[in-house]
Parts: sequence; C-alpha cells; structure tokens
Amino acid sequence: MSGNLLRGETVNPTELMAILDKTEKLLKDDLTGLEFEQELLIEIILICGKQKQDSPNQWAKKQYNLANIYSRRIKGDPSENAKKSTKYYLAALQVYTADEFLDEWAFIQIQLARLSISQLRNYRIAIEHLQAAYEKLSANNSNIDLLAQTMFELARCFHQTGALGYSKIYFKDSIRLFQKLDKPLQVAAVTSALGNLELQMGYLDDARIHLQTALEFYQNAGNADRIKSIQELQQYLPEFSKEQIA
Amino acid sequence: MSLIDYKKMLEEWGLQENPFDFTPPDEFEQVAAIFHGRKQELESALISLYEGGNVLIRGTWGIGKTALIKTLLYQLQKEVAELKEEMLVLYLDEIPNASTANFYRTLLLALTQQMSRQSADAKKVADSLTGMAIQNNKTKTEGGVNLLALSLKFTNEPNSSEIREADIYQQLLFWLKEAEGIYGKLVIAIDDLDKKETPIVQEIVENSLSLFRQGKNRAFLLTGRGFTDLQNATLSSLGIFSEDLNLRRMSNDDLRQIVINYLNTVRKEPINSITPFTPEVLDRIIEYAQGTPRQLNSICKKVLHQAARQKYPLIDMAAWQNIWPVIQEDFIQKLSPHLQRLLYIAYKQKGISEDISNESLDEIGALTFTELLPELRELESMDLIMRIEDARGFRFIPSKLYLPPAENNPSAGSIN
Repeated sequence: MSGNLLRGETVNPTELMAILDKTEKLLKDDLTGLEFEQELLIEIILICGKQKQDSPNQWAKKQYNLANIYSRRIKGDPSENAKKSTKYYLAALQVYTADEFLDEWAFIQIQLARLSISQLRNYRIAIEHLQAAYEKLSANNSNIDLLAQTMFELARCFHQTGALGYSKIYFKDSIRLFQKLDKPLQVAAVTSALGNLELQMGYLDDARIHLQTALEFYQNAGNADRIKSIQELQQYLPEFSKEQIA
Repeated sequence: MSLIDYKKMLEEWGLQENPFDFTPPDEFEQVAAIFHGRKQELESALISLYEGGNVLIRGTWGIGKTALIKTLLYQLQKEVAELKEEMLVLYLDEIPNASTANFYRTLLLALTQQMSRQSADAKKVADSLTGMAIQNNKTKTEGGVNLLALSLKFTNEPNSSEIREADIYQQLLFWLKEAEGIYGKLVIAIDDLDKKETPIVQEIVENSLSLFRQGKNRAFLLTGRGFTDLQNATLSSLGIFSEDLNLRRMSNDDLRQIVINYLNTVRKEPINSITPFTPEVLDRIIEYAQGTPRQLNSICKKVLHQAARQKYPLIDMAAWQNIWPVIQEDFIQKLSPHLQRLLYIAYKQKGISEDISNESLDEIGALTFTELLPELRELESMDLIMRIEDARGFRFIPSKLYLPPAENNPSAGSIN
C-alpha cells in the first residue's frame, strides 16, 4: 500500500488507516537513516489523523506519533524539529495523563527530558520530567523497560550536574533492570557509562571491572566505535598500559 | 502504672520530667544549655557569620546539625548584642518541597513578611506570595539583635504571585539589600535543606551565585548531608562558603556530658551527675549511640521511661538486662511486616547499600535499591537504622535498637 503512495497513486481512506496502524510499529523501530520514510510517515499521519473533538485518543496518538518522528527527523533544522517535537508531545499530554496512559505519559516525560538537554542544556527541567516519570513508574512497576530507561537518563543527568553519588546509584539500578529484561546492549551501554563515572570518582577498581565488561561485550559485537571510546577511558587507569590495550 | 506513680519515680531520681527527646528543643536557649562539644566549629562559624561569610554545615542524619545551628545562632545573638550592634537573624526550619524555586520564594516571603512593619512595599510583596504561609513565628530580641525562627508550610491556595516566577530571584536580591540597609547585618540560616535527598544544596548554590556572593553584611548558613569529593571540590571552587563544617561523630566524653546537661534541665539544681544511670549502663548507651546524639537521646528517653515504669531505683546493669529487650521489642512491633523484612535483610547482610544483591532485593520484594530509599529513610527517622558514610557512598546498618529474630527461632527472617 505504501508503494502506491510512494508512486503518487491514489489511496483510499481505509488503506490509509491500515498504513497508519503499521506506522506505529515503524515508529518504535529506529528510523535513523530513513529520511524518505520519515517524511512519508509525517505526511500519512497528517492526512489520517483525527481531530481532537472527533476522537481525543486518536488525536493524541497523532500528536504522539508526530512528536516521535520529529524527535528523530533527519530532514530540516534540528532545532526546529525539536521545537515541533516538544509541541506535539505537550499536545499529546492533554489526553495522555499518567493515570490513564502511564506508558505513553512516561515515555513523553523521558523524551521531554532528552529534548530539554539537547535543546536547552537544561538539566534541572530534564530531572524534573524524569523524576515525575520515575515516581509513577516505580509505584506501578508494570513497565520495567521504561523504568530502566528513566533511571538511566536520571543517572546521566546526575552525572552531568555533578551529583555523582546519585548518578552511581541510578546507573547500578538501571543495569539491574536491563539485566532482568535480558537486554545486553543496554546493559553494556550503562555499564560503560558507570565505568566512566567511577573513573571520574576515583573508584578505579570498580571502573576497571565495568569498563572491561563493556569492552568485552562490544568486542564480541564488533562495535569499533564503542571499543575505541572505552579503550580511551581505560588509558586513564593507572596500571593499564598501552601494551595491555593493544 | 498510674501517671502519679510515674511522676513519683522521676522525682525520686530528682527529675521533674523525662528530659530526653528525639529532636532538640524548639527554644534556642534550651538547646544552647544542653549543647556540648564542637567548640572549634562553633567559634569558626560564629566569626564567619558575623563577618558576612557563608557557612555550610554537613553531616549525616542525627549527627547534631540542628543543635549546632541553634546554639550557634543563640551565641551569635548574644555576642552581637554585647557589642551593641544590630543584626537580623532568620532561622527557617526547612524549605517546603525543597527546590531552587521554592528556596527563593520561601526566603522572599520570610524576609518581606519581617520587613512589612518598616515597608509598605515589602508587605505588598509578602501578601502577593500565595501558596505558602508562615505557621510558626517566634521572635526573641536581645539588644539590637532580633532572632526570628520561622516555620513555613504550603497552603491550599494556588501557588501564584503578582511577581513573575522569573523575577522572584531579582526581587530577593533587591529585598536582601534593603534588609541590610534596615538591620545592618543579616544572617539567614536554613535547616534541613536536603531533607528530600536530592542534591538540592549543590543545585541551589550553583544557580544562585550572586545571592551568596553579593552583600558584605549578609551571610547564609546552610545544611547538607554527604558530598562526594568532586562535589566538595566544585563547591570549594565556587568560593561561596568561608566555612565548610563536616560534623563527625561525637566522642564518648562529649555524649556523656550531653546526658548530664539534659538531666540538669529538669533538676532543681544542676549537678555533675549521671543519676539515675550507673556508669556501666551509660557506657553501654553511649556505645550503642555510636557517636550520634540523636541515637543517644532516643535510647536515653526509652530507657528512662521503661525504668520508671518498672520502678527501678537505679538504672544498673541488672535493670538494663530487663529493660533493653522490652525496648527493642517495642520498636519492632510498631513496624509493618515489610519494614521488618527490610530490617532483617539489612541485619543479615550487615547493611544495605547500592550494591545490594538481586537475591536480597527479591527477598524484600523490590526491583531496585532506589525503591528502598524512602523506607530506609523511614527506618532512619525511627532510629532503627543508621547511615554510615564512607568514601564509597553510604550504607544503612541496623542500629542497636533492632532486635533480630533469635537464630534458633524457626520463624527467623520469615516475617510475613
């Protein structure tokens, strides 16, 4: 069906609705590098999306989906995309309340936190969003994945703002949760961030263990960029000579 | 036991009432009478505040921050009055919902409310700050020095103001300058700033450099808990605090003197005696307090109460052997099964920290260590758990008030 659209052919409303449903799955996947598809999705959502008065839930979903695409949009000015993303997320929150749509609401809080950092470098606002998400998610414990993401983002914010003790706690807890979810990629990412923090805090033995664990994961995965960045950190460990790294 | 018999027992010991309490007395003068030790900290902070230098007092829960602040402000008032100088000393017992924005709002309200008598404009500002109200307001004047203790709470009113949120900081700077003009010198002390465990002190300091740096005749006294070495370095590099006092555990001799001072507050004549405690029992109490005045107070209060109820003429080791298990049992019974389980795991693991194992978390029924923090804080506020801070962070260990289930008891640890 999307082929019809790409070819500029006419598509009936039923087909469009089916495409819209499919976009939800696509939106959850990584669309980085798929500029054309992103633009297409924006068009589809704008055509198919409902008016608020007709169907508040469908309208909120439209805002939510648009916000998600704009947060990763390749085309256009990044700052403008971020502004649009924020605008759509805030609109979605008119319907997506924490009590009725916890997952969507919490995900939006995480996204707003990320946008606060990338656009405004405002960690205070980011922490406020993330703490709000943490409180609701931890009271409910129904979505461990979102809880793990929230704690990881909080850890990063605390790291950036110099609250290192808290950062360490949140990194360790997010590792626990990602392990529980059996998400080794995320475990490696957090473990590497934790090792970096511990290096900065002077906990060299812990840093050594965590950086090495993350390194081994990336070596197995063949991720050259991550291997390089971890090896750069390892050079700051006192007895880690260049020969060992080689 | 009737109340009359209970009072009679206290009188037999030469006491008008049980003087010990979980928190220091409200009155600054009373706190100063009980306070003992930390002479060097008091002296350096006193001079610093007088000279307009900011002071940071930090230390773990129950280490005696509030007692030190109250004693310090009491002495400051007395000594500045003796110098025949003028000063306004504001003491805020906490910032409701501590955040940078609420910090500014609270200070602005406290200050403009106090200045309302001298300035109609100040009154206008105070009246416009809704959503927060002064609940307790005690003023003590000595010579030209006013010591004002305030307690602010949130109200049901919407949190609005004629002043835009963004302008509150500028307004605060303006009224602080005005206050210096009216009162000469100004000292603002804020207690329990980091009650919520967020890195709030650091955030406030970093966002408010001109607030702390401007004004030669004003000084702030803030409290904080633990800071990492890097945070310390950051705070030091900002050059905001002329004194950074890290309160350590108190010595046994200091704790002994504090017990005597407390007892003297309810004796007809002060004497240098630990009666009704015997030296052996007081040594045991001091050992159990682990250098923490709050634990000391808590244990003394309970022991005295139980001993009076059981009509011991003297609290010796024989009495102690009977009293102590009753006190421990009493503490445990007040806990929910969940908190009992948490405490038991903490006991079994010789403390709980961020490195708690997943098996222990499963036993407690928690997903993360962070999830346990509010409960650990609750236990800490009940004196059942103590926070030990070291270079690696903090660790919660059960206090001596905790009575673990007997090892030979089949139900040990299987608290439902």
